Amino acid sequence: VRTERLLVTGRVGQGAAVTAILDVPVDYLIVGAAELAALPTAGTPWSRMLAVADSSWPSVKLDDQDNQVAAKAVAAGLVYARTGTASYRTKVVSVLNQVRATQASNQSKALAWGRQVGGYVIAADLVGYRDPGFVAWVDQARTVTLPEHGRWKSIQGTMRTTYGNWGAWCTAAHLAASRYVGDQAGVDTAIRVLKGYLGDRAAWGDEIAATAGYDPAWSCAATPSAEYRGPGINPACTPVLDGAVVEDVARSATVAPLVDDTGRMYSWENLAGYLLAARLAQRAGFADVYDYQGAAFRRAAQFLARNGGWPPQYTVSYSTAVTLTRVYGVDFGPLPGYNHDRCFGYTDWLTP
Amino acid sequence: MATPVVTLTPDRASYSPGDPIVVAVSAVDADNSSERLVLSGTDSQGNAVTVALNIDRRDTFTITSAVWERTGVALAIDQAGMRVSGSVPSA
Repeated sequence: VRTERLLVTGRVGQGAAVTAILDVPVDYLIVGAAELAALPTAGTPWSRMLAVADSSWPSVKLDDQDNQVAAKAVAAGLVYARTGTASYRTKVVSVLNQVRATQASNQSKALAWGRQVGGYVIAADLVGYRDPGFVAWVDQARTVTLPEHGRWKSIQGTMRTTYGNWGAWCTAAHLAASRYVGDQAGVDTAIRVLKGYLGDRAAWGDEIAATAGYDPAWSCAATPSAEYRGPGINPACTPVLDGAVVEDVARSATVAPLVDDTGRMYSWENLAGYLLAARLAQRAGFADVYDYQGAAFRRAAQFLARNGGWPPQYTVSYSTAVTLTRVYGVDFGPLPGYNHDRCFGYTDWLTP
Repeated sequence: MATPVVTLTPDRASYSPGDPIVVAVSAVDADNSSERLVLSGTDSQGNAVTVALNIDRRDTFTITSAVWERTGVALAIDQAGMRVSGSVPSA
């Protein structure tokens, strides 16, 4: 169990100096220290994760939205945290240094950063990497200008203004980074955004603006795009719309309420990011995140299950599906395989 | 002289890096850790009654330092409240 040692020195009465020791358990951003220490180092979930940690990883490229080195670094970080084997820490730190070193030539797209930064931060936390230069890098990663998109030009700005899948990954990245650098105000903001996404309009919404693909026919709010402020997951307004991931199911080329593969795929992308944010938020104090707003995440899973979205069509979504089945104890059918997502995963090992 | 026992009690079971922490401090000198109190009197029938109990006596403890071992960062000392407080270091 990861601990920090506190030394308290003083004198009892007129006696000699005495020092007392307290070993304080220190949790990880994504899992409790004692909880992680109790997880198995055998079995299929462990072996799959270990294989990812041991594999040869491609080069880091922050501007490539399909680069998944961050997820592989998380695997190595988890193996190190569980076993203490130094070589996994070394491998992670090498990658983290590459991330910093290549920022200047990889600074254009908020989606690519949002999909990766959270994973690198989680990996750094798992291996206890606190190099001041890296901490400073994480701090600025939330607000650095990423000019490619016309509207979403930073992780923070994207988090604050959309409940689409870009906002999903940027919320997770912002929350991880804020937690890592000890910015409680940043943590609080990300949690308010997450609450708004789940349906708490009082928590967040004023800055949310509809995407170009927004379709009021998919929204329980049924508002025109100029008035759409959320939520990200529909409340139970009708049996058909209940749980729809509004912005991304609307990517379907079909007319509501018919969902196509594009709508299903983007809905899973959306849930992957916000469920990672939820995992981080729960450890940051948002204890009832999975029950919030009538268990919004569960209703989203149910929506996808009754609209041909279970199992997900892409392996990158399997770990998200595992989270939903483990958290809610629901079973929408077997998953045909397993893999990590954009920057996280191993949920079958983390949530046995 | 027996070694005094100093007990540190954190306010939570576990923490994350950066979390605030408050640790209560108590100390007992094993040589004189309790006092026996004896109360004597007479009940309503005129019988003599004696009641005895032991009271733990917490010794005074002057905290001179409180510091995280790895980082060397000090915690604030509240001598009157017998506690120390600060933030959990980032691991």
